[in-house]
Amino acid sequence: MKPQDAKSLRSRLVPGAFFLPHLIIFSIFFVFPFFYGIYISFFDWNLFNPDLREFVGLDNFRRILFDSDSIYFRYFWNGLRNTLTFVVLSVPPLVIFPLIIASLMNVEPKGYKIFRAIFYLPNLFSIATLVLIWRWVLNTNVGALNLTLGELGIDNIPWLSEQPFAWISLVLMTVWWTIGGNMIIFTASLKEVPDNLYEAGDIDGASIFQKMRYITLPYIRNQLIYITIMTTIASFNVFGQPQLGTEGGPDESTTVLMMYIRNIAFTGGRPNPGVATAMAIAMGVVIILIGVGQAKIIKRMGD
Amino acid sequence: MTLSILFISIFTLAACGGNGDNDLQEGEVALTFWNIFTGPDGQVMRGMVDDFNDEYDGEIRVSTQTIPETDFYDVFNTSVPQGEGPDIAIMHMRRIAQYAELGMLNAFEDMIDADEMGENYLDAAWDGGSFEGIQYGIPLDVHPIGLYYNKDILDEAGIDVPTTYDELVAACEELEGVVDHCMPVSNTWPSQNLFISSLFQHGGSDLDENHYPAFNTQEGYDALKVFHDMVYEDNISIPNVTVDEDLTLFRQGNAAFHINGIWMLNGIKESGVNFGTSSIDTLFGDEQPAVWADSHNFVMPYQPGMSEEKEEAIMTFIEYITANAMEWVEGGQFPADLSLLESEAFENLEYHSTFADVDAITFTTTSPYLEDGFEPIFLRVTQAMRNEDADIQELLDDAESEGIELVDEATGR
Amino acid sequence: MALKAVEDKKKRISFWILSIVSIVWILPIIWVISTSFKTESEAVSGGLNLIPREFTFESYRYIFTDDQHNVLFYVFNSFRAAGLHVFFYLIVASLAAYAYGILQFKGRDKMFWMLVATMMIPVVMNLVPLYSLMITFEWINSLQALVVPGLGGVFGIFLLRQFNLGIPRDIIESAQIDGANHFQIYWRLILPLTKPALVVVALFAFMANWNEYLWPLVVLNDDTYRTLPVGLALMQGNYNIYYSRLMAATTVSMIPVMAIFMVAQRYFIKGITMTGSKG
Repeated sequence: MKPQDAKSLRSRLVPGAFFLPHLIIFSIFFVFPFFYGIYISFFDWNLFNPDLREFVGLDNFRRILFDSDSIYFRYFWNGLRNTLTFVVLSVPPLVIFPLIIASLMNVEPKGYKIFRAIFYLPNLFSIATLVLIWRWVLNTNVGALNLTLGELGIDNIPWLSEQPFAWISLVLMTVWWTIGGNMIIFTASLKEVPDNLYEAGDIDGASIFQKMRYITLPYIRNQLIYITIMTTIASFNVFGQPQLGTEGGPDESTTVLMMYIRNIAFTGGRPNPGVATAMAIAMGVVIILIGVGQAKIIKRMGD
Repeated sequence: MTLSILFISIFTLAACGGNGDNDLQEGEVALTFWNIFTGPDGQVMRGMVDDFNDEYDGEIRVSTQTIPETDFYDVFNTSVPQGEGPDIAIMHMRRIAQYAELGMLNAFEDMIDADEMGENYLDAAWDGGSFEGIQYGIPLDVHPIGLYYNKDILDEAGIDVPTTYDELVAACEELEGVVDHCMPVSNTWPSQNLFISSLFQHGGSDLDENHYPAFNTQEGYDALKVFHDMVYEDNISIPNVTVDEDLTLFRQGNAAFHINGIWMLNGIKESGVNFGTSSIDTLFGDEQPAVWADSHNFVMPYQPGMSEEKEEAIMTFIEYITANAMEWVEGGQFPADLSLLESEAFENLEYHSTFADVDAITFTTTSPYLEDGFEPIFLRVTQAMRNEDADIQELLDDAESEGIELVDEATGR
Repeated sequence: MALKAVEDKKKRISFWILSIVSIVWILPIIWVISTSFKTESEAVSGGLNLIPREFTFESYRYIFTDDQHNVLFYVFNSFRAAGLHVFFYLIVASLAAYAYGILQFKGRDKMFWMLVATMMIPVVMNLVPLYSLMITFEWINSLQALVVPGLGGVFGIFLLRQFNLGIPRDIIESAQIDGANHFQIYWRLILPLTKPALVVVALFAFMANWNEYLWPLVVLNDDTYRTLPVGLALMQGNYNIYYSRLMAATTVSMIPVMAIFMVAQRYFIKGITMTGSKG
C-alpha cells in the first residue's frame, strides 16, 4: 500500500475508533428497543402474546391524530395540550433562573461553594421523594405552605387540586428539583469566558444586560443550545410530578401525554402498546420540530 | 479527598453482609414466591414463610421476592410473558379474571377439588378467584373498608356511632364546634371503594352480563349523588380533600370519622387516637347491606410445564399460610379461611370484630373487563365531589360511554 | 484599584441575593432532615416547627437495624453500580464527543444530530425488549444489567461535544504540527481542557444511575445487587406512610452523593487555556 493510501485509510479509520464504542453499545441497547417500538406502532400488539398481534398499518396513528370519536384521540390531544402547557411554563424558568444564579456565583462571593451545594442538593432526590416532600408542603389543610400563609391571614390555597395552582405547583417543584443540573452546566461554561473581557466591559461602563448579551452569550452559546434542548426534552417527558403530585387532576387538566402513554403501554388494565408507541412517536416528532427551531434561533442569536 | 476515601471505606466495611439465600438441599423443591407486601406487612409475611421453611426443611424451600404494590403489575407484565415469572404470586382478586383471560395464569384445576376446598373459605372470596368455572385463585385474606371513629370526640358530643346516612348527617350537626372536621373524604383514593359500597347499598351494579357498564341507573344516580351531597349539601366533608389528608386529619384528632381499609389499622393505632371501628354496610344506602372489599389471592403465573412435585409443594405452601394467617390478620386483614374467620381468636380481636359485617362483604363483579367498563366512573366520583354544580346525570352518561368504548376496544380483539 | 472596588461590590450584592434565595431554597430540605429526628406522631402532626419538639434517633435506629434490609448494603450496591457506570460512560462518551466535536469527517454533523434526535423520541416500550436482551445475554440479576444498558446514552456526548466545539482550532492544529496523533491530542489536551464538563457528565450519569428504580426492580430478583431506591421502597409499607422513617432513609441516601458533589466541585475551575491564549 502506498504511504498516502495508508495515511488516508488511517484518517478514515480514526473517527471510527472514537465513535464506534458508543455506537455499538447504542445499537444494541437503544436502537433495538427503538425500532422495536416503531415496529409495534404498526400493530394491534398483544403485550402478553405477541404472536397474536395484528397488523394495522397506520391505523393507530390515524386514530390518535384524526379520529375524533375515538377515546385515544381524546387521550392524545388532551395529553399533548397539557404537556405543551407544562413545557411553555417550565422551560423558560428552568433556563433563565439557573443562568442568573450561576452568573451571580461566578463572581465568587463569600461562601459560593456552599450556595452551589444548596442549589444542587434537590437534584439528588428521587422523584418519589420529591413528590412526597412537596405533597406534604403543599397539602391544602395541613401543609407547611398554607400554614405559613395562614399566619399571614391568607386562606388555604388548594395547591394541588385546583387550577391555576396545580400548574404553579408542578412548575415550582420541577424548578426546585432540577435547577441544579442546569446551574452547574452554566457554571462550567461560564468558566470559559475570559475574565479580561468582563474587566474591559466594566471599564467601558457596560450594564449587566449589555455584558450578558455581548460577552457572555456568545461564549456560552453552545451550552445554551444543549441546555435548552435537553430541558425541553425533559419537560416534554414529564411524568412523575403530575402522576404522583396532582394525579393528573383536577379533571385531567394536568394529565400529561406521558401519563397516557405509560398507562396505555403497560400498566393500565388493558395494555395497547401499539397505540402507546404511536403516541410516543407523534410526541417525538413534535419535540424534534421544536428542538430544531430552538437550535436555529439560538445559533442566530449568537451571530 | 480524604473525607471521601473515609466515606467509601466506611460504607464498604459496613456493607459486608447482604442477604444470601441458603443453598438447596438434596431433593428439596424450590419455589419462588412474589408478593406485594413491603414494610411491616412484609415482615409478618416473611416470618410466616420462614416458619414454613423451617417446618418443611429438606422438603420445600420457598424464596420470596417483594415488589411494591404500585409497580407489581409492571414487573409482572414484563417478566411473566417471557417465562421469567415466579411459581406463586399474590394478586388482587379483582384482577384475576383479566389475567386468566389473557392466559397469564395457570389454573389450580387439576391440583384441587375446587368445590371441596371452597368450603373452607368465605364464599364470595372463593368465587371471586374463579373464572369461567375454573379456579385460578386461592384467597389469603379479605380486606374491607370500614369506619374509624374518634371515641373521645363522640363521647364529648354525646352521640352514638352512625350506621345510616341520616344518622351520619345528624352526627355531623351535633359535632359542629366540637371538632374541626366531621368526616373529611378524599376525593380521589379511596373514594372509589366508598362509591362501590354506596352503589351496591343502593341496589345498583357495576357491570352487566355483557361486561358493559351497568351503573347508569336510578340506583347509580342516587349512589353518586350521595358523594356530591356529602360535600355540598350535608356538610359531612369539606371540599377538596386530597388523598391522605383525610387520614392525617383523623390521626391528628381533628376529624371525628374516617373511612378507610382494615389495612390502615396499625397506622391509626400508632397515631395515639382513642378510636373504635364500625361497619359501613348501611351507611350510604338502605337497599342492601354492602361493604366493599378486595382480597389477596395466591395465583400461579403462567409457566410452561410445571412438575407434579412443584404443584404439590405449592398446594402445601398455600394451605399452610392460609391456615396460619392469624398474625397476618392481626396486621390489618380479615382472614378468608373460615376456620380463622369464625374462630374465637378472631372474635376477640378488638377492632376487627366491629370493623365490617362479614355477611355484607361484597366484591365487584368477576369480569376480565372490570377495569375497562367500570373504572371510568371513578373520575366522575371525584368530579362530583369537586364541583358544586356537578350534573350527576351527565357524569354518569360520560362514564358509561367511556366504559362502553373501552370494553368494545378490549373485546374487539 | 477602582477595579477591585467594583469586584468587591459585585461580590457583596451577589452574596446577599444568593443568601436570600438559598434560604428559601433549602427550607424543604431542612424539613426533611428535621422530620427524620422527630417521633412518628410528631411527624404526622405536621406542625411548622423545624426543630423537633422531641428529638429522637428512633427512625434512624429503625432503618439501620432492619434485619431484612441493610441500608448501608444498598448504598454500597448503588455506589458500585453507579461508579462502574460512570467510569465506562466517561470513556465511551468522551471518545465519541471527540469524534463529533474535534475530528472532521464526512457526515459528522448529520450523524451527530441524528443521535440527538433519538433522544427526542421517548422510548416507552424499552422495558420489554431490554428485558428480553437480558434473558438472551443471561444478565438477569447481574451487575452488568445495571451498568451496561445506560452506556448508550447520548446526553453526555452532546454536552462534551458542545464544550469541544469551543476549543480553538489553533491549539489542536499546533499539536498536530508537533506530531501528536489524535489519541494523544484526546488524552493530553482535550480531556484536561474539558475537565469541568467531564465532571458534570460524571455527576449526571452517576445521579441517573443512582436514582434508577423501575429497571433494577424488574431486572434484579434478589438482594445480591439490590440498589438503594428499590431497597427504600421495600422498607415502606404500601399504605401506611411512616414519615419520620422515610425522611431518615432519604437523609441517609443523600449523604454519599452530597459527598461526591463536594469533591466534584473542586473541578469547576477556570479553563486553563482561556485566560492564557487569548489576547
